[in-house]
Amino acid sequence: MKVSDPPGSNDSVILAPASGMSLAAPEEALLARCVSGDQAAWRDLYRCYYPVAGAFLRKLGVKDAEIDDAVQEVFAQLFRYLPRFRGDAQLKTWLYKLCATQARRVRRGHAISNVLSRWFSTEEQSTTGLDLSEGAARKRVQFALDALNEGERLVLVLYEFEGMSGEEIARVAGCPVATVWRRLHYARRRFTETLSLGVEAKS
Amino acid sequence: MKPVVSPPRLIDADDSVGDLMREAKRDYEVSLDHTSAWRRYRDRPSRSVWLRLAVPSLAVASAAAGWLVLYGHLAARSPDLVATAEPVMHRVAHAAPAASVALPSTDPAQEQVREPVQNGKLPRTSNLEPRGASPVVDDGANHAVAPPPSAPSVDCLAFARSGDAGAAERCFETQASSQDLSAEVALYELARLRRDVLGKPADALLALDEYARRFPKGNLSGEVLFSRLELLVKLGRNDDVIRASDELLKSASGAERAPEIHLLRGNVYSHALGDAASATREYALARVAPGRVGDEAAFLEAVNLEKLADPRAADAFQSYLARSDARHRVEAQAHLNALKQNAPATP
Repeated sequence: MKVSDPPGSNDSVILAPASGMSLAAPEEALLARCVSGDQAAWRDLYRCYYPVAGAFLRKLGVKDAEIDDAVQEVFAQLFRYLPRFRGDAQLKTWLYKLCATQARRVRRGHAISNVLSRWFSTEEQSTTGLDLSEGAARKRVQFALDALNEGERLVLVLYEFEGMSGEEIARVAGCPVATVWRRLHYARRRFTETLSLGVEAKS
Repeated sequence: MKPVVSPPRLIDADDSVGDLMREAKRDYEVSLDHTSAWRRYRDRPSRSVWLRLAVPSLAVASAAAGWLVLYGHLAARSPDLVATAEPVMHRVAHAAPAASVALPSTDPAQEQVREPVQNGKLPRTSNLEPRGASPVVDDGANHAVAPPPSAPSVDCLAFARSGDAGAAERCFETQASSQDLSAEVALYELARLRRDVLGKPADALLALDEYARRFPKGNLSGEVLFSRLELLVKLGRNDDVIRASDELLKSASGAERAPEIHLLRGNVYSHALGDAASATREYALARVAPGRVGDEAAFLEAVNLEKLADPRAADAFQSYLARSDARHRVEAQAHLNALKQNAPATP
């Protein structure tokens, strides 16, 4: 499975995990079967990693209504480029990378549609995205996550929710480990500040 | 350079932020079912009718224009060349596409036919969800013609869909003999098949026990241990339920589903062991959960307090009624009215 990155594509950045951990043996066997065209193996891969990808995309701000499309896009990338996967990092790390890229695309799409809706809409825009009438923990946490910039949000979600180490996060985010810790420091500060603001507003 | 020490995670903190993040994490993972997701994706409405009509029309028009220009150009240069080129172009136009990767198809009628993907491009509506991932649903297609269970790409659930649950069971047993992730999935699916379709909960438990023995840190171990608890309840092995759930609660995967486990333990204490005091304790631990689990636990806690003739029962019903998502509102109100009527008159 040792092949080079696909040339001339932006996607190549996300396709080949940098060197690091090796694949666990059962996972490697499953991937080998996927590459050989075994449909049952594809199915197993999808079943096992669908919840991982879905939950991660949600944390990165993809709305529930868009989750299905976003996850299918991620798996489309995964299936398309799996034969080129070098296997020198964990599949989950690579999956997180694909999800981060997909979440960025979705948010970019939102940015464009928001601009268009501001141009063509005559209605007043809502000033806050937080629905204080509902105390769901996820909404409050999402509000605080949305207050972060893209890089900080990715690092915070990977560290706090996915339990990854600094080195693993650096591989997913494509930045040095020192940058990871710096982003995490600012992200945690802003995140807790926003959370406490939400709590005060609610109370 | 001084190495950076990882800071303690906020989510592990024993404070309000930690509680909030743990609860949010559970919320993020709720209702992520790959089967229904795939169905929603497959059946989603078309994003744009215009795109569907305009793009093929433009493509056909461009191709036709290209052919005309090329033909005119060749005819102008040499009529003989046109005569030579025509059969070649015909062959190119009708050449079979080169298949590079075989992907599963959603069409149940083509159960074992692999869909070719041209030049590595995955069609938007291609079938990423391998068939058979859905639970046992009869989609009306004939799945009786399936490859032997030993074939590597066999879809075991296709047997169950065609009505031959026994063959599906044998197929999963064969797949479970391997050592990779597919064996994990096969054992889990085998247990579901035995429990839901074949009505053999004891055998289903055997499959889950085998999973726990062979893959103690497997990808599905959290789900397997929880399913195992449900099966133990079904089999009436109440002492085993309490013992196994104690162990599960100590594990990381158990901690994630702690409210559900406490609710289940409360039900066992309340209904099977007749221990209302222990049931109340379990329900109290589960009622903090959002959604159905928390709602159910809060209501049952109040009911058990009433059983114990505990003076806190009325307050428990009242605080349950204050919940925005109270599903047993009418019943709780009836209990509360009864408690108020039976309460001794204060001087």
